[in-house]
Amino acid sequence: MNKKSEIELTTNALFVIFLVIFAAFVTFSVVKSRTQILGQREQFSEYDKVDSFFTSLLTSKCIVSDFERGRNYQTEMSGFFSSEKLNFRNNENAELDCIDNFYFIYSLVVQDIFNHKTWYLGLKEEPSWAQDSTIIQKSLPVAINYDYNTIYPGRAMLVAYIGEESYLYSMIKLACLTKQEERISVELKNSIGYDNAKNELCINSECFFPHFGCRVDDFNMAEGKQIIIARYKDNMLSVKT
Amino acid sequence: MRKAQMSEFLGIMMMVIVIVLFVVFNKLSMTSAQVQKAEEMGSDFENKNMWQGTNVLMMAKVDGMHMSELIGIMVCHNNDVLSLSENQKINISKLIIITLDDYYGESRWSLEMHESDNIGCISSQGYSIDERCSLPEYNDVKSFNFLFPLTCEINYGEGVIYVWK
Repeated sequence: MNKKSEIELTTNALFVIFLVIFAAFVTFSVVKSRTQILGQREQFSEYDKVDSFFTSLLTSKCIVSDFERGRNYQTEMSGFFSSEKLNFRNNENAELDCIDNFYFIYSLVVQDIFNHKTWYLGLKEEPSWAQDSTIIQKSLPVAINYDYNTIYPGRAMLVAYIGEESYLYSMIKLACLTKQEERISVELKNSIGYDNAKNELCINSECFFPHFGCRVDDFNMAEGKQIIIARYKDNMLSVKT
Repeated sequence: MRKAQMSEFLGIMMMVIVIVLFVVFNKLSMTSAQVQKAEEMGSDFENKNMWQGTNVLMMAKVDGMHMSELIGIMVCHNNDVLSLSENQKINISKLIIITLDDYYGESRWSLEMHESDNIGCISSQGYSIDERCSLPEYNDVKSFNFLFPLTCEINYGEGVIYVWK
């Protein structure tokens, strides 16, 4: 082989290596941006879900003042809360039973701006397992109606906890609603257990009262990656790995 | 190197440059679309917050009187303190300041009120009469109009809440 063809061979080899590296770079770049887009889309969708749930919550009958003809035309506006209804549900540490949400576990904190009175609906306080979840907070002005003669401005803050635990919780609710078999793959970062007799759902040692919408048999899930199946049979939902 | 091989290399190099430019352009346009979507969502929520804030303020009732009525009394009499009795007084501007400071942030809003003869302005700093609200020059100012009943004539007054970042 002469010197000229040796140089040509080397140049060709280098060029092929360059093309392979370039193709790998383009593929990597496309895959990475696709993953990023899907991640961002998921985030936007989470924000949308929290937003639309918040909007529904502001008109939910279990906290909004009742319509009384000729007295409260303003009840047509969202966020016209009844202090009586808020008192009734304050510190229950339970999910509101009058409005369904299939995406996350939440707390709703309502505060009167004038007298600083505060009501805690949903989860009573931020649980420690929330540090493994995405937390989305939204806050909107609301009116707190005491007796139709005293209506003070207030603020409602929704805190949504989105993570694997909420995902499992939502799947159980969905299975209760559809009465169909549901199956999900989750990587639980905390253990979850449910006691039917007390209607108490505990994530680690922190418990609250869920509203599944059907009878759910006791279950206990350890941390870690697993496939969980929810089956509805004989008016009871069983949740198993 | 032969001439044909040279043009082959050049052709492939040009293709590589075109692909790189396409990837960069695509990435930039995707990023700007995401930023735009995030801005739109933020702006929607701000508008909702503002709309809801104004409505809540107007429907608030103190001692059986709507805040919109109290604003009407304040504008008609050029006085922000309403005496219901010797011991019972309502400081209207203070109630508005507490509410709007909480909703929009301190010194990030002003409320202008017009009636045929009178004009007034409330901001975090207090209530002033016979002058329009001064607005920040370089900020994006959003406004929301509302009507309030007047006690001094059978008419409505006009109000505007300005909010900025």
